[in-house]
Amino acid sequence: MESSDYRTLIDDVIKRAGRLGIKEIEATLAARKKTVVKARIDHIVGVESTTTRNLGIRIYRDGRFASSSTTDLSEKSIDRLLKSCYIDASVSEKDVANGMPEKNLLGAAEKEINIHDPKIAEPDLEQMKKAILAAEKAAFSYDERIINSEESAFSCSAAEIFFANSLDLRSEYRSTKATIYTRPVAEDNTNAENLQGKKQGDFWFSSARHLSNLLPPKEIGTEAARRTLQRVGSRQPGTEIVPVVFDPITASEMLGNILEAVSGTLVYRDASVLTDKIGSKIANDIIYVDDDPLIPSALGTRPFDGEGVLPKKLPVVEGGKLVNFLHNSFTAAKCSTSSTGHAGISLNGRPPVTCSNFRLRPGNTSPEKIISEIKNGVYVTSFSGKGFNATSGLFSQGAAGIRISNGKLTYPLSGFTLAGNILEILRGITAVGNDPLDALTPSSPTIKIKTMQLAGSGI
Amino acid sequence: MDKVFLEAKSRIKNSSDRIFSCALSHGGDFADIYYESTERLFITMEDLEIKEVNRQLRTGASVRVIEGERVGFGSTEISTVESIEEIARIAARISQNNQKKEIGKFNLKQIQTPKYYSIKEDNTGIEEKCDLLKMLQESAFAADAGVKKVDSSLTLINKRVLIITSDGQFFEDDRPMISVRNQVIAESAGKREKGASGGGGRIGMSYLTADRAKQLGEKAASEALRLIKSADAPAGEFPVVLAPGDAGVLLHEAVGHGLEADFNRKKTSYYSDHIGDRVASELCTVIDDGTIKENRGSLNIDDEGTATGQTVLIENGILRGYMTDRLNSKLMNLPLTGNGRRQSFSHPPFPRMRITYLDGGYHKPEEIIKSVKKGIYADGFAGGQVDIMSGDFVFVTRGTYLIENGSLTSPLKGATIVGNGPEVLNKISMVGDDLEISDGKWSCGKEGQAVPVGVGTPTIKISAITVGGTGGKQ
Repeated sequence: MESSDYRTLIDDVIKRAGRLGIKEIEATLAARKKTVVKARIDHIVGVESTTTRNLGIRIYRDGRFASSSTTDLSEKSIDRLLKSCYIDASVSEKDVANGMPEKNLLGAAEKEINIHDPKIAEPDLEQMKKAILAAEKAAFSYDERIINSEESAFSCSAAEIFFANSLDLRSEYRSTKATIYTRPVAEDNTNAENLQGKKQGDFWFSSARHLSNLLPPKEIGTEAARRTLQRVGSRQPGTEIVPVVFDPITASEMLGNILEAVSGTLVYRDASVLTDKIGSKIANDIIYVDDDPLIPSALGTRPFDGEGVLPKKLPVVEGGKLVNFLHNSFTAAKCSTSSTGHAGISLNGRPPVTCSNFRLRPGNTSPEKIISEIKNGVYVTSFSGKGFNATSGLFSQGAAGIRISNGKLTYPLSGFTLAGNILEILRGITAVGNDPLDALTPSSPTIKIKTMQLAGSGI
Repeated sequence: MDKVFLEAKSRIKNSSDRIFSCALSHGGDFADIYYESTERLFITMEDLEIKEVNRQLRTGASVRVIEGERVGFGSTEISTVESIEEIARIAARISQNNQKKEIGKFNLKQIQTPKYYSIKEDNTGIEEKCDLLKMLQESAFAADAGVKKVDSSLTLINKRVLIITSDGQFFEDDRPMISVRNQVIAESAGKREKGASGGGGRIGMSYLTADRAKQLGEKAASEALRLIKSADAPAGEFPVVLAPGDAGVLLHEAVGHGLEADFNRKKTSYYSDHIGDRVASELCTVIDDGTIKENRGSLNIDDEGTATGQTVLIENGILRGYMTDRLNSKLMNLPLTGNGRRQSFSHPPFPRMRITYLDGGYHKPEEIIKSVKKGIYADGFAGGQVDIMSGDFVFVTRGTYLIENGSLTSPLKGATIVGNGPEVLNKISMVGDDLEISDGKWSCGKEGQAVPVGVGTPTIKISAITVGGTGGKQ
């Protein structure tokens, strides 16, 4: 089907609903295409192409709610979908928070947001093969201790989103995203008591809306190899309380924990440790976090949200003060406020609260400078698992990184946990780097936490 | 849905020769077609009120071409013959030998395998389903005045799959699945904690009896209430006793993944080239099983049509084999074990676990607890992760107690345990005679694909493991 067919189809869904007496309805049609090329060592091992195309509807019936989706876009199927969803809506409990966003919030950004690249939508397979082999090659030629590879992949995804509701809104956008990653493996013979030589692996990647904004494959391979070798010969630290520096990858994961705690989904259930902290100081003056959906070419950029709301830049933390939570129309109504335009595009169920470009504003200190001021501490480069409880605020997660001694990165550390309460961690951010990582959302530069509890069995 | 499936089935069967001749037009050793039709019903309840009802219908097909270690794959949600031929041509682009394979007219042969579950007609209406969820929530609220919020959900899935291989075999499997999830927030003395429970399997509504609903409600409530009264876990190295059932997820993560054939073929697993070697204490026999009746991880056939069975991975401490799919079994010259799985038609299959458990031993559970002077007891884990290359893992325990002088004493908050899978297997010093397979709630993620799995273990003792403590300074 062509874009114009989808446009007609989604319009028809709303019209059919009207004929069936369904007064409040939202419909989303998502057509996605993804091409992936995989390589390992020196050859291509996979070429995958997947297309998906789904229609999802949400019906509100006198304050009751139901949703449904189908891959069958025939007229008969759509009628069936509408009818059964309308019946399901009578089953749910009435809730005044159920309903579409206020009409004055609806719209689509007209500003040039630049999130579509035809070169990604119709990728050149041969170019993709060449690029991914170059990334693998760069990793192997970086150092002879790189002996193996898990896999490298180059993916090109394109999406077309059509949204319509019974308030006469019709919105649509096209977006693309390309990602390259590589995962080299190094032999680690430094610990002789093991069953056999341990192996170490790490990765690096690049992700962008436009092909021209991807890092060169060679750089990705080289950085992946450097990060992998950085783990060789790791030791376990003991139990100590030390300053901790998170690199942009792990700092962004930490920022993801904060995102969870400021999401309306938890806030309205009084299930977030930050629920009653709105308006209060939760961090140092240097901390600014905002969510900006309209940054041109950025990965989280979207011209409208999953409920057709025109999104705006939202300050979340300003000079250390918590000023806003992220809401979709349901969580907003529950908290007696208006949607902030943070409903994700969703074909099934209530749209989840999702961020767009959720960023911790960079400071002006270089990561090297931050590290150089620490006598004894830990530089964290990866987490394992997820150990954050947004209700109690307790954070406890496995990590790996590098020891900081007298202002310098020294030997690798692994097999330890970092723990603390998110409120203490937030207050403990005393330095923010000048090195944002735009290939992620949430995205954070390097951050330093004054002290954290480290636990390991080493001495 | 039956009609949709039957129509697609006859259409695809009748055109399979055409589809395969597109798939193998550039060469390739093997190709298969996978068609799926999935119906899903999802109901959520929040504090005794039904919040939403969601239904999904998803159908689609994929074609895969294998040539050596190379895989070409195409998928589509439009399951017309023309559309499937097109994805077959996309999948064909992987071939390098450029020798078109001639496909004659097929005599498709349907392969029958033993059944461990089947889709049964669901006679319960939506109101009845909602009433059962309500019963579950009432029992959570009734557990204690401190229970403030309860969130529950019920998911029912019927998935029908059709697999046709380029060597003329065809398979069908009807896969039901129910899963119930429940989360409770309790407050008391200014503290707030979460508790959770869940279960289900390849079975329909008959799983969710009134009794079971009540148990699931109480279980989550009692966890949240217990956590409020819990002390921080100590930090240091201690013996750890794991309760039967859920705690088996430790084996899944810390050992199971390392025994999936793809990691061993690529030699990125800790266990590469170790078949026949001692990798665990002789008390350990680890099995991956697809045949347990109506379990969440059961499979009649895997997603490549291979009949499942019981695969012995480690026998009395000796590594016996890996879990394979077609590609890896052929390249490694190992038996097909029926572990080729995929999330849906839009994902290619690779080796995945089914129900992974440590087999029962001869110790009495009481005797195991009695043997510990000071240690940690845990009845499960809140999730965790393992690095399959190094075998290092981190887990957070649930249902945690302190063991002092051979008895369970104070309840503890989740303790973070840090260890190494292969090392832990060597430190299993007692294995109970009380093997239990967990009531299904686990999903396993690998390369972005989630599949339902089962886990199990008897009571076991690990002689020493690093406990990180809960850290937070209260």
